[in-house]
Amino acid sequence: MTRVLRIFFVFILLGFFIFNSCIDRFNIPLDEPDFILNVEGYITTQPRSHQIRLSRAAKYGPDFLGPSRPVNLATVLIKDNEEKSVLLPYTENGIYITPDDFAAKVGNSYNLEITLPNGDRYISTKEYVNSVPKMDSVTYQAVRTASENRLNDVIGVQIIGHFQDPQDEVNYYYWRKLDSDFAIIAEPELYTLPPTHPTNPRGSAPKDCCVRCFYKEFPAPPSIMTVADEFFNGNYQRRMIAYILDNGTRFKDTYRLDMQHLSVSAEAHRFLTLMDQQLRLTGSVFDPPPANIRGNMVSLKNPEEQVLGYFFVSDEQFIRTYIKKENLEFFLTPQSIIPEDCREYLNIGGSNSSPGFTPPKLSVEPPPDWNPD
Amino acid sequence: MKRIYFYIVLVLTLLTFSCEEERAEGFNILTEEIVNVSGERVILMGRIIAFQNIPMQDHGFYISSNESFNQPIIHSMGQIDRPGRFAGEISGLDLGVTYFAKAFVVRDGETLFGNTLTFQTLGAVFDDFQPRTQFPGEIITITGRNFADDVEVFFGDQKAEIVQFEFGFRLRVRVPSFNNVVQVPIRVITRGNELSVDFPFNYVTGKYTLLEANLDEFRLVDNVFFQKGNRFFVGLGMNVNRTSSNFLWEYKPTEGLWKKEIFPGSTHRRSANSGTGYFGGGFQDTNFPPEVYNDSYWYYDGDDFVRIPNPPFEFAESFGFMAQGQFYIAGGTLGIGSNVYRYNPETSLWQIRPNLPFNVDSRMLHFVHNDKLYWIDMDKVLREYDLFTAQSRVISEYPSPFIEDFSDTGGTSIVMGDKVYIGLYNNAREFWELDMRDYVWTRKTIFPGITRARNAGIFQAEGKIYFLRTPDFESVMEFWEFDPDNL
Repeated sequence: MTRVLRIFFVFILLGFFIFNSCIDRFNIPLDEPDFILNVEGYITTQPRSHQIRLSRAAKYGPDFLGPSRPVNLATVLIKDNEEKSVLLPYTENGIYITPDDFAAKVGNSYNLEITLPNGDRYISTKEYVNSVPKMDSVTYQAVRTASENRLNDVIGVQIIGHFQDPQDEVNYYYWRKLDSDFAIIAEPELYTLPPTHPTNPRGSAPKDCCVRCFYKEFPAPPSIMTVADEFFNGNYQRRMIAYILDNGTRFKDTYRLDMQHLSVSAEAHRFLTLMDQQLRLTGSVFDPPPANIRGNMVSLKNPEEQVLGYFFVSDEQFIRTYIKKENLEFFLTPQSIIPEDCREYLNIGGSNSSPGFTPPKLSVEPPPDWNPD
Repeated sequence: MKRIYFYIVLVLTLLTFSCEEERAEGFNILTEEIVNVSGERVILMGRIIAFQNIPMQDHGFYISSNESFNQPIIHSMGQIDRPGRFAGEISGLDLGVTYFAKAFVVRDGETLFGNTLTFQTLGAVFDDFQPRTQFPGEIITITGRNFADDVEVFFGDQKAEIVQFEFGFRLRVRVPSFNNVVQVPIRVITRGNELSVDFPFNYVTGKYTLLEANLDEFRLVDNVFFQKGNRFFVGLGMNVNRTSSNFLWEYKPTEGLWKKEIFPGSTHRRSANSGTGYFGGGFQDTNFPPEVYNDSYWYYDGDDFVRIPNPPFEFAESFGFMAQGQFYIAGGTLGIGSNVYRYNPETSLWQIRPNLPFNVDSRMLHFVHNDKLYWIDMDKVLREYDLFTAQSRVISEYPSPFIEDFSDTGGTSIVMGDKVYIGLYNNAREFWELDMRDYVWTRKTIFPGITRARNAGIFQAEGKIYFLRTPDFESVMEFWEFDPDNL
C-alpha cells in the first residue's frame, strides 16, 4: 500500500508540474502609430511673427524609414477666449506664421486649431497667459565643471537672472535661448598654404585680412531651463537661467546672447520638464525610460490618436546680454586658433564646399543693433 | 508518512486553487475640460479613469441649458474599450446662453455620468469689412466672430451671396447690384441676431466724360500746368514730335474752349511746377541729353507772367509746390536729389531749407495738404514731410500694384479739401480717393480711356476734376471731366 501511495504521489506531483509549469503566451498590444502628427510652437506677448511647425514624426529604430516630414497646406488657427481668430498662413517646411503684429494678451486663454488637408481636426487644450515677473538684471560668470576627462574641466558661462518671485501666485518659468551673435577672432597671419600646394605645401602665407567677423548660432548646449516656484515662492531670485559652453571660439571677444524670459502654464512646465528629462538621457540605469510625452493636442476625429508636441502661450520679456571676454574670470585655454581669414570660418580650406554649394562668408560688419557698450 | 503526503498534496492543492479572484472592474468618468467655446459650438473633453480596458456600449456628453438636464442634447460617440480622455465637438448651440455639460458612459445598460461643468456660448460680433468700397459683383471680406452656419448678409435691403464661409469668423461676400444708393449699411444676421458696424459700405463712384475741347495741333509732354480760380492753364514743354512749345493754352469750364496764348520766355521742359502759377527751371531745348538748362523762373499773377529771381541751384524734374504762400522746389535729377529751396514772394528771396530724407523727382507723385508735403515713392509708400520741423513719416501705401518701369511713374493727383484724388499712373486705369483725416483709400471708377498716355495737367472746379492726357498713339490730346461722386 505504501508503495502504491508513493507511486500515486509521484503521479500527482508530476501532474501538478505538467499542468502548472507552462507559460501562457501573453500578447502585449503595442502602439505602433504611423507617423504621428507633431506640433511645435508657442506664442508670446511680444508682437512679431510667431511660428507653428507641423510635421510627422518618423519612426525610430534600426530601420531608417525616412526623415520627419513637414505637414503642408493645413489650416492653422489660433483662437482666444473671445473667439478672436487668427489664421496662420503657410510658408514652407510645415511652418505657419502669425501676422507680424500678432501678440498674445496676459489674462487671455488660447487654443490652437489645426485642420489637415485630409479633414482631420485637432485642437489644443486651453493655454492661459500669466504675466511673467520682470527680470531686474542679468549677470554672468564663468564656471568650471569636472568632466570624464580628469585633465580637462568643462568651461562654460552661466547666465544668472535676478528677479523677484511674487508670493501670492504660482509661477512657472521657462528661459529659452535664441539664435545669438558673437565676434569670431581669427589669426589670418598664421595662414598656411594647403598640403596640396604644388610648390610650397603647408608653407607660411600670412593674410592681411580679416581678424574679426560676426557669426550667428544657436547657443550650445541645447537645454530646457524651466522651473516652478514651489521651493522659492515669494523669494528674490538669483538663478541660473542659461549656460553656454565655451568651445574655445565663442568667448575670444564678445558674445551677444539673446533669450526669452517666459511664463508658462503648469501643464506646459510639466511637459517641458519631461522633455528635459528625455533630452538628458545618457543611457545609464538611472535614466527614466524613453517615452512619448503626451502633449496638449487632441484629435477631434479620433480621440485615441496620439499627437506629439505642445502648444503653449507665454508672457515674454526679451533679454539681451553682451558677454565680454575681459569680464570672464577664466575661459577655455588654449583658445581655438583659426589660421584663416575669419570670413572663411564656415569653409576653412574649402572643407565644406561641395559641387554647387559654397558656404557663405561671414560679415566683418557687426549686426546693425550691435551695441556692447 | 501518509500525513506528510497528505499535507504535500494539500499544499499543492491550495497553491493551485488559491489564486486571487478576478476583481470587479472599477472606473471613474470625469468631465475634464471645456476646451473651446464659440458662438454655437463647444469642444468638451472627458476622461475614463480605469486600470484596465472596460468595454462601454456608449460614451459622450450631455448638454443642457438647465442644471437638471431636461431635454438634453446628447452627443453620443459610440462604444469604447480603452480608458483615457475623449473629446467631443457639439454644434448647433444658441448664442450667448449658459449651458451645463457632463460626460457619460453606458456600461451594461446603465448610464453613468461625470461631474457637471458650465460654460456660456459667446455672442456673435461683426468687426469689419474690407474693402470699404467695391464694385457690384466683386468680393468683399467680412470679419467678425462666432458667425453660425445660418449667417446671412444684407447690403441695405439686398441679400448678398456668401461666396465663402471660413472658420466662423470670415465671410467672403459678393456685392449685390447697384440700387441707386451709393452708401448702404451692411447687416449680418446669424442665429436671429442682427449685427452691424458704424460705417457704411460705398459703391464705387466716379463718372468720366470725354470733353470735346482739344488743343489744336499739339500733344504736350513735359509741360507746365496751373490753375487760377476757374481758369486752367497748360503749355510750354514740347510737342511729342520734339518741337518746342512756347505757348500756353487757357481753358474756362464755362466757355469749354482752349485758347492759345504766347509765353514771353523760352520753353520750360520738365520744370519745377507748383500748379499755382509759380514754375521755372528745367530745360529750354527739346534735345536729347545733354540738355540746356533754363534758369528763368516765373509767376503768373492772373494777367501777366512775372519773372522772379532764380534759385542758386539748378532744378529739373523736381517737385514744385506751394506751402504757407511760399514756392518750394525740392529734389530733381540735377545734382543732389534731396535739396530744398524756398522762394518768399514778399522778400523775393530764395532760402535753402533742410534736405528731404530721401531723393525725390518728378517721376513720383506729390501733393501738399495743410502745408505738409506728401509723396508716393516708387515702392508705393506714401510719406508725409513737415516742411517746418523737417520730420517725415510713412503714413500709408498706394493700394494698386506698381509694375517696375511700367506703371510706377507718371501718376497725377489733386487736393480737394480733405480728400486727395490720386492715380492714373502710366499704363494704369486706377484712380483713388484718399481721405486725409483717416488715410482711408476709396476706389473710384476705373478710367475708361486710353492708358498708353501721359498726364499733362489736372485741375478742379465746382467739385469736378478735369485732366488732360497725351495718348502715345493718338493724334490729339484727350480732355476729361471726372465727377468723383456720381455714377
